[in-house]
Amino acid sequence: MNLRKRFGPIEAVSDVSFTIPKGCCFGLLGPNGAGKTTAISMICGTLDPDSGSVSILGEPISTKNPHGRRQIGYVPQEIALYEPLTAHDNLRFFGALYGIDDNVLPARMSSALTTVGLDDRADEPVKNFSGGMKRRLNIAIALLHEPQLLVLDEPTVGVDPQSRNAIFDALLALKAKGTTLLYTTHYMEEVERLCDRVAVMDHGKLMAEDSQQNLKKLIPTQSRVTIDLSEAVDMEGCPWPLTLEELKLTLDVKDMNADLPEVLNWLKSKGATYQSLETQKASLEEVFLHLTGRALRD
Amino acid sequence: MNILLAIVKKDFKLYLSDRKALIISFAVPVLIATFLGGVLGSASNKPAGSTKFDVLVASDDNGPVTKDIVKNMKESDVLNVKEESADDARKQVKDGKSAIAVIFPKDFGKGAVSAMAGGAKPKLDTVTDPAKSMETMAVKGALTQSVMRAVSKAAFGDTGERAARLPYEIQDVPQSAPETEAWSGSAHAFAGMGMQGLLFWGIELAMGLMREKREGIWKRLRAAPTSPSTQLLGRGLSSWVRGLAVLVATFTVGFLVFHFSIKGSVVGFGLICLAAAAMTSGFGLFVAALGRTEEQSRGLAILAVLMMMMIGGGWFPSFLMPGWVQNVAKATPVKWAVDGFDGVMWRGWGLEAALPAVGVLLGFAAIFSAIAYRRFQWES
Repeated sequence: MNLRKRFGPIEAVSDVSFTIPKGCCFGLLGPNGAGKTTAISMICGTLDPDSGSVSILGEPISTKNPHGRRQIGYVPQEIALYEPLTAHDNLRFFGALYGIDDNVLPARMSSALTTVGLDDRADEPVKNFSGGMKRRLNIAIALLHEPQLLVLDEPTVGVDPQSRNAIFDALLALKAKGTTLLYTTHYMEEVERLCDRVAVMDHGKLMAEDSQQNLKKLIPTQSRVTIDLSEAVDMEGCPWPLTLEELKLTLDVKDMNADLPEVLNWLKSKGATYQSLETQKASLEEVFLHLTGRALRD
Repeated sequence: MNILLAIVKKDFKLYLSDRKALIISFAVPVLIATFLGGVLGSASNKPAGSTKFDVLVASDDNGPVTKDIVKNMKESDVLNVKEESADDARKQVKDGKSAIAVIFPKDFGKGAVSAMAGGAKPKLDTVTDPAKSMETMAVKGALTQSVMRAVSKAAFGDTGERAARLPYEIQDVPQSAPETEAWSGSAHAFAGMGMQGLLFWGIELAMGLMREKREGIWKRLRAAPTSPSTQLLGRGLSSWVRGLAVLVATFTVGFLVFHFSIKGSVVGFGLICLAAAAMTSGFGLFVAALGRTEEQSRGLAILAVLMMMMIGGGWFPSFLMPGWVQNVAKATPVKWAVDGFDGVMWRGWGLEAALPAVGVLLGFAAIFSAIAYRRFQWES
């Protein structure tokens, strides 16, 4: 709550507060440099805030409270693995760091590897793994001690689509099991696919925090219709906000179900013919643009 | 304790996973030591240019000739004469504090003058450090000049005539254990190269830590429910054990191939090994704590190690260096380690004599580790 962190003249995190309900997948969205990683570091207890506090199920989290950090499984942005060692060796080492009993550890390792789909590669050196497999092992390590909160800091950076899907399957499985997830990314589609609640950060500040549906209500245009016209049409008197680039017409509507038939009728009345028509709901990208005045990947 | 063991086990697995690096880490100090040991094994040392050589003088002869000899020695351009009792002189040479002591027996002067006329040659005792044979040879040369001048003056007056033969016999007593043992250049080389191998291990420890920070592994380690000091202690411990292995392997090859042995305290030798490895671990943590980038830190650390090796007597005996360098050398751990190893291996030091070196090395380990702990950038 009320987290602040300053590095010299730069306020990396400025009065950021949010609560993640148990079992929720919470997305922390923002461009590079927004302060997400600094916030994550404070949440994980690897960096102390200048002011404010973090707690999980009532237990304070800080660099001075190792027990509190046990509640958290942290998946760093980097592939934080010992590449010359096997997947098993990596898991065994990090398992020991979390104080997992030797009698329990083999079952936990097996379960974590199964969750991320690497159970058949357990005894292979990590250096032989693809980038996506390394990312998955990165996640498996954070699952070993069965944390209350799994914090994932951009876990799909630099991953091919196939591996990204595998990672998503693993995360969806965890979500289905009721694991609480804190997910940071600057890939909007990942948040839309995975997260129940979303916080938008920019320049160290929390711009908004709500469910996806409610966030999308912040923007005036809820839906968009894109039409490829066969030939030019006079658009004068069009009742919806529009843009026309050559023969590509884009109309912003408020309610797709109510407005789409009217759009088609209006086009018919104008004698317009078209080759294709596409509808699109408002995206978090537009929410971000609306809140910050710039695109997420600027 | 389990966490420390886990860190040590992990580091060993990493260490063993790179076979080539493993072989190199053992082979490099052994090969260099073998080369230097072969070169220095039977050879002696060399004097350092215009440096004056210290010589201890003890005299039981109050006669005018011997007094004149001592006066000549004091006026010599190459000698620094210090008068001591015979027992103190012997002890200082044995402790390695001085290269040579000259002990004039009673009536030496009279005997030498008489020998000029065909009488029996008196004996002149010299007590020498076998590690400093060239230094002792230079002193003996200057001693001969001083004796010849004084004895000729006593025998022939100020005629300028010189004696045609040496009017005395030197009875040399090397001071090391056993007393007949020559200085072991190979033992010195293995001590020096063992230390060099160890210090390079320290640099590897530092680079490993810095690499972990760069690759983000440190973040994950910091997120674990262990204290930063446990993390550092674990790394230091694994480095200590591995360094010890390098040292033991290096000396084992020396014992087997060059047949030198531990003439003094075996326990003292073991303690110096343990303390030297601890110092090296501390040095590694120190470099990791102060360094900013791997490239920069590696370059500076290698320079520091090479300088310490050079002035600390790791490559060649430090007495070959000018006096001020020898004084600076006392501030380097290498000097204490190499002198300690030399002491227990061929000087025959007992445990008590080895303890100062152990203490200083542990002191360096403590200082390096304390600075590392204070300066380490935990929140990178």
